[in-house]
Parts: sequence; structure tokens; C-alpha cells
Amino acid sequence: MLRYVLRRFAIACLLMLFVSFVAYILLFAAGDPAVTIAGAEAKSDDIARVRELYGFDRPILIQYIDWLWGVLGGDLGTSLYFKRPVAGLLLERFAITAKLGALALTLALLVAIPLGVIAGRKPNTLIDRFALLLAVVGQAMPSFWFALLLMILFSVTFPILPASGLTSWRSYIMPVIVLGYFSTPAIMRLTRSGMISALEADYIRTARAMGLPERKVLFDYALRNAALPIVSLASAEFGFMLAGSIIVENVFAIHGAGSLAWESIARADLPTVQALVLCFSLFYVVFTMLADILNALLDPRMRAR
Amino acid sequence: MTDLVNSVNPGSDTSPLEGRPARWRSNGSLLLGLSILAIVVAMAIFAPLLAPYDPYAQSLPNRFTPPVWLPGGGWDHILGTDQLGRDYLSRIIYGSRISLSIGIGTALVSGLIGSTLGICAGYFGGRIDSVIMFVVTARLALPVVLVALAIVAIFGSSFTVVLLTLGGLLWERFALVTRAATIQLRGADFVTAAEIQGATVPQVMLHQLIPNLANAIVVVATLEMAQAMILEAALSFLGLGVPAPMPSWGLMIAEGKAQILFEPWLITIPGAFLFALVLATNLLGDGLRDVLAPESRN
Amino acid sequence: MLLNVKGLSINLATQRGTLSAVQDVSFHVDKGETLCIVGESGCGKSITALSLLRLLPASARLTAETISFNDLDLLTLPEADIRPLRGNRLSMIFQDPMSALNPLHTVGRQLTDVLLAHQHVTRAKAAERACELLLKVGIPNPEERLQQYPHELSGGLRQRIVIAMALMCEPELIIADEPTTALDVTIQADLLRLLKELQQALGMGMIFITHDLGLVSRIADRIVVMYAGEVVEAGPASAIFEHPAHPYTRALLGAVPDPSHPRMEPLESIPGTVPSLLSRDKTCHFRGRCPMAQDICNNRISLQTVGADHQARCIRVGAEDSQ
Repeated sequence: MLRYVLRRFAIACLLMLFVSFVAYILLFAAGDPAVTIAGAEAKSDDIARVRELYGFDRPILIQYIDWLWGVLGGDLGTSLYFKRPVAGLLLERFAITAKLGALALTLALLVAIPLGVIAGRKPNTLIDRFALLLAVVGQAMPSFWFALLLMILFSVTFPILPASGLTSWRSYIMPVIVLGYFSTPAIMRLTRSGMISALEADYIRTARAMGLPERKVLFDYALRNAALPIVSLASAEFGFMLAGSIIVENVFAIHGAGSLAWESIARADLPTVQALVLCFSLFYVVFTMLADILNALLDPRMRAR
Repeated sequence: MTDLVNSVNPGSDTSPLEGRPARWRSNGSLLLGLSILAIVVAMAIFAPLLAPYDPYAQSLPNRFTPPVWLPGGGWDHILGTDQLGRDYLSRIIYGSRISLSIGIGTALVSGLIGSTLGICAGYFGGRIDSVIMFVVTARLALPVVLVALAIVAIFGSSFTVVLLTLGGLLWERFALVTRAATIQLRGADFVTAAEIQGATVPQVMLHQLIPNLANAIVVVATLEMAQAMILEAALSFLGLGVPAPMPSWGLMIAEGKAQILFEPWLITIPGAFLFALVLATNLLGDGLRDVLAPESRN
Repeated sequence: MLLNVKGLSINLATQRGTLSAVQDVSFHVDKGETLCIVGESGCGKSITALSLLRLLPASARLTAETISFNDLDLLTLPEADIRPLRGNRLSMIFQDPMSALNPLHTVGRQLTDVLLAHQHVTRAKAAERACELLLKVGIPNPEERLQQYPHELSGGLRQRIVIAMALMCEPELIIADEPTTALDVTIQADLLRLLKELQQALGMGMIFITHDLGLVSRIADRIVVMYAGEVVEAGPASAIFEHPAHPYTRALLGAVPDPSHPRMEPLESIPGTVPSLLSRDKTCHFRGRCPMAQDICNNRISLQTVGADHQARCIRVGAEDSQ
């Protein structure tokens, strides 16, 4: 087990190294950061001075290693716009986004898993059709449009929920719904198909033939088996959800990491954008790693490795 | 006795109902998806004939004419006019061209990248497979919207940049599906036969593998097309998709957002079209999967 | 009579129409008796077994004159009253030990769950009982085994655990569906002996389902031979082994490896295939493969009396002993 965890950790580190490199190349090499920093009207020797000052004249690999070294030491660079260290900025903003994300994931799981269990238990019945319809509709709904529809309904037509900001618990309702509904169809479908295949398994037939109560068969025997892939999916979805906060925070004017990302891109604040890409990727990598480890704990067949 | 065991038709041990209702339902959804999609495609192709006005023609005195079913609306502008007095229906009709071409273009680009990687990973296996799968995982770790926004911001927003960016990002499902299918095909007799007869690796891939992967690729392409259309609209909504005068549905929603208090239909109408188009494409994809490649259903 | 089944028919709804999986099957089991149901796979023996526990798939329709267990009518008993019977008074051993156990729970957990489902005992008490039983089914150091997961055990051990599971509540009737098919020959013999011993010790009735007539000879009191969803021959084991009346039974007996020969040679098989269960015609189902088929076989017949308590579904019954 320990070996598995260590191996998984090593893979995650390697992955982060690669992702950070790609992100670095993509963002820094694509444009000319010196031009951006010096401003559109800068003269060519101004640009050259900036290039020298920031070290942009060095080979890209050296720059990357230099940057990476800083990151490992907790230095994510300095925001060009806020003129302060990016690390502190991200910490503030991610606190909000993480809270939204956690609430949204909870909501998604609370809706998707019971619905998936009910649908998977009686496939092709009316309730199953209804659940699938909901999933199909949900997957086709662009989140920014859904957010605006909710806003029209609950802030304009019936003004019961605030349309922007995070002032009270009521301001969380719409953003959490929008962020959460996005992952619900996928988790619901996976729960459903997992339940269907688990319920067809021989060990379920054994459990029923042994007269175990249906509740136990369903939740302790079938759902536990169906849960293994759900753990993996939910963790990946959490990563996607945090990244999806760009849209939600934009619509609801919430000052989290997502809106910071959008603003920084619009302001060409490259160090901040870079740090954000790194952080969003890191979340994904860490959560999928934790999910794999959790799966290994839940599944004795994997634990042995 | 073993011959006997195998020759017997299945009676008791398998559930013979498996799969049937799913197939039946999917054919229904396939038809529905196909018909909606056909309407949108017709809209895109015959846009100059169908659109009552020039989608770019501004008429400031006629700003914010409501659609026909709202008080103040009229048959002159069935879906009303926007903040610059442009006919909303004409913009919607021309907007279908953007969504569809982004969807199809992205699916082509990402299909090319993803299938190539997937087939190589599946066919060669071993170290090459590990490396490619590592790249796929890394790609999954990258936040799509954020990276796409950043790239579009750097290169400047244009139709081509959006298409190439999305195509360069949305290939992982192609890679995963073709890889899995190739691994299954690799051991098949006809592949081995071709290899024994001295077919080169590209020949095997082109003549043996790709024809057999076509179904799976078509299914993924359809689903990925829907994904790309949503993302284009999202990027345009955030102001970093296709540039401003173009009638992208996402952009129209963004422009309508300022009027959410008084003219919410500016948001609901283009959103409804986008939703219907994505829904239809997804239905088509789900339906095709059940008909063409039922084994890949999850 | 412990179990009495009369006129059992099972239809399955399929894509290509209704499949008649089991037709008009009758048999009974007495206390302490072993009934063997023999037939090729697909003949309807497994689904018959499942129907006794009322565990048929949703696509199946069951009709019968009687299915009674002691004085309970299993046909009409509501589901809520059936569940307490399953695994308790009426239990089943499944054929594939690889998949019959839940991979995520320890063996001990799964064994004790059975007892806890039917009796008000503590888990510790249930674990004691499980230990006892594991020893009884020939598993040494049971305390250790209880802590293990199915994937950590060999096929033979797992099959023993599946047997122990079915015996947790000392059922009155146990249905064993090919419990030894997946195992190698030496373990098969071991387990068979064990089952027979346990059955005698507990006075259970047993229905043993198999395609292997070689096994049947060692344990059967009575035999039902099924073909294409029908009973083709039924009777006391001795009568069937000595005077098999149906050509199919004879063919199956011919297919049993001669104990005096090593098992290396290929088994003799019956030529031809089983008719489709979708379209039953009026002819004898075995006609297509029967070496003795004649024109009169075009008409199906009911079970004919061969001897005391011995019937066969063949038009030639009685006529052929004179040959």
C-alpha cells in the first residue's frame, strides 16, 4: 500500500512538472511578455530594457527553471497589475472559490447519487427515463446561460436572491447550483451504470439468495462496488469545477480565483495567469491522486499492491 | 460434451432483455437529434435566403424592439432587435454558421490529433503508450477554459484562433477511445494477417485499423462537436471568443447581459438556440453510439 | 414432502419473442434426500433453481400448478415473507466461486451478514458460528480466513466458503447449482464427499444441479433429466442408471467417461444441436439428434411410465425392451 502511495505521488509530481512546463511555454513563449509589460506604446529600446530587467533574453529553459525554483520556494512571482506577490493574492481568492467548489460538489453528489441509484435499480422505468432526460438536458445547458436564466428568474422576475457578490448565504445559492449542476449528469450516469452492472453481478444474486435485506444489498453490497469509479470521477469533476468557476464567478461578480483569472488575462497580467494555471492543474492532479489512494483503501484488490 | 455445452442456445443464464430498450430509445433520440440538427444546418447553409435583414445593419432608432410575442413587438422583427438595432432573427440565423463551423472544425482538428495519439498508443503499447497516456493525463490537468482564454488573449481573438485553440485542447477523448479500440483490434486475425504479409505500420494503421475505428471516431467527434460549441459560446461570452461584430450566440448573450433587467429575451433567445443545437448534437452522438459502437457506452 | 413442484413453466421475454425456458416441469424432494437435475447448459436447470427462491430476472414469467415448501405456498407468498426464507430455511450454492462473493467485503463479514439477516445475534456470536462452519467445510485456521478478502483465496477455498455461507442457518433444503464445475477433479471429489456428509449430518434435502452424470452416480437418490426445458426422464437413481429409458439419457450415460479409462480421451458427444426454445413445434424436441428417430416422433407425448416411480418422455418406452 505504502509503495502504491509513493508511486502515485511520484507520478503526480512528474505530471505537475510536465504540466507546469507546458503552461510556461504556452503562456510565456506565445506572446512577448516584454512588450506586454512595457506597454503598447513603448519604444524598442524600452522593450529591450524590460527584457533584460526581467531576464526574458535568457534561453526559455533557463527562465523556466528559474521560475520553477521560485515556485518551489513559494514565490509565484509578482502580479503586474496589483504589484504584490501572486502567492498571497491566490490564497485570498482561492479561499472563496474552494468554498464554492466544495458546496457545489456536495450538491452534485447529493442529487446525482440518489438519482443514479434509483434509476439504476429499475432501468428503463419511468423514473429512469426521467433521470436520463434530466442528464441529457443538463449536459446540453451552457452554464453561463443557465446562470443568467436563474438570475432572470430569481433576481429579476421574482427578486428573492441577490444577483451578484457574496453578501449572505442566499448569495451562494445560485452560484452553487450553476457550478454543481454541471457535474451532476456525469456522476448520475456513472452511478446508474455502476448500479446496473453491480446489481447484475453474481455476488448480488448470492446476497439476495442468502436473504439479506434489500436495503443492505442495495447500499452495502451494490453501491459500495459502484462507488469506486464515482470517487475517481467526482475528484476529477472537482478539478473541472474549480476551473469552471471562471464563468460562474464572472456572471455572479464573485471575487474568487475564477474572476481573478479572467481579469488577469484581460489585463495581460502574465505571472498571475501562469500561477493560476499552475494552481488549477495542481488541484486536479492532487485530487485525482487522492481519489486513487482512496480507491485503493476502499478496494482490497488494489490495497494489496 | 464440451461441444455440446457451447452449441446450446442461451436460455437460462443470461438475461435476454439486456440492451434492447436502450437501443430502442436511442433510435428515438437519434431521430430527434438529427431533425433538430438538420434544421440548424439548413439555417446555416441558406442563411442569406432566410435572413430577412443584413445581420450587421445597424439602426439606432430601432434599438430594443421586443420580439413579436411581447407587447411592442411586431412582424417586422420577429425576434426583435438588439442594442444597435440589428435584426435579432438575422443574427441568430447567421450565428448558426459560427457554432456549426466551430463545432465541425474543432472536431476535425482534435480528431486528427487525438486519433493519431490514440492509435499510436494502442498499436505500439509499452513505453510509447505510457508516454502518450501521460500526456493525456497532463492535458486533463490543464484547465481548458482558462488556457483557451489565455491563448486567445495572446494571439488575439479571431475565428481561426478559437477553432485551433479548441481543437488543440479537446482531443483527449479521441485519444482514450481510439486507444482502447486499437488495443482490442491489435490482436485480431486480420491485423496479424496483414502484418505477416509484410504490411508496413502506416499501411496497417490506414487500411486495417482506421476503417474499423471509424464508428468510434464518428461518435466521439459528434460529442466533441457539442463540447466545442458550448466552449466557443463561453469564450465569446467572456469576450475572448470570436470578435465583436460577428453574430456568435455566446457573444449575443454577453451583449444582452447588460439589459437583463428590462430585456431578458436578449439572453433567452440566443441561449435557447445554442441549447437546442448542443442538445441535438448530444442526442445524435448518444444515438450513434448505441447504434454504431454500443460497447463503448459507459 | 419437503419441496413439491408441479407444472412449473418459465417464459422469458426476449428481443426475438417469448422464449419458453422451462415447460411443465414437476419434481419433489423429501427430507434428507438428494435430487439431481441433469442436463446440458441451457436446458433450464439453473433457471428452475432460481425460480424456487423466486430470484428470476424481471423479464421472466413463471406459472405453476404448485410450488410448495413444507406447507408454504412459494407461488403466492409475498416477497416480504420469501426473503426470510432465503438463506435461512431454503438456501443455494452458486456455481462460480470467483464471482459469487463480494470482492469488497471480508469473507467473515459476508458469512456473518447471512446469520445477522435471519437471527438476532451479535456479530461476535455470528463470527463464532462462521468459524465453526469453516472448520466443518474443511478450512483450517478459520479465524485467519475470516479476515481475508475473496481475491486472496484459491478457487477451492472460495467454493468452500460459498458452501459454508449457504449452510450458515442450517437450511432444510439446499440447492447446489453446479457447485464443483469450476474446480479441478481432486477438489471436486473432496467437496462432493463433504456436501454429502453435511447433508446427512444436518438431514437436509438437496437439489444438486449438474451436467455431469458421473457426479450424479455418487450422490443422487433420485434423478430428473432435462432437455430443452422439459423433463425427459425422471426416477430413482438406480433405475435410471440401470435402465435408462430415454435416448437422451442413454446418450448422456454414453458420454460419461468410463472410470476404468484415464480421462485423457475426448468425451463422446451427442451430435446435433438443441432446438430453438423460441419456436416450439409439435415434434419431439430430441428428434433432431436422436439416433432412433422415426416418423412417429413427429408427435410430442407426455411422460410415459417406465417402472415404479420412473417415467420417460419417449414414444418407444415399453416397446424397446423387447428388442
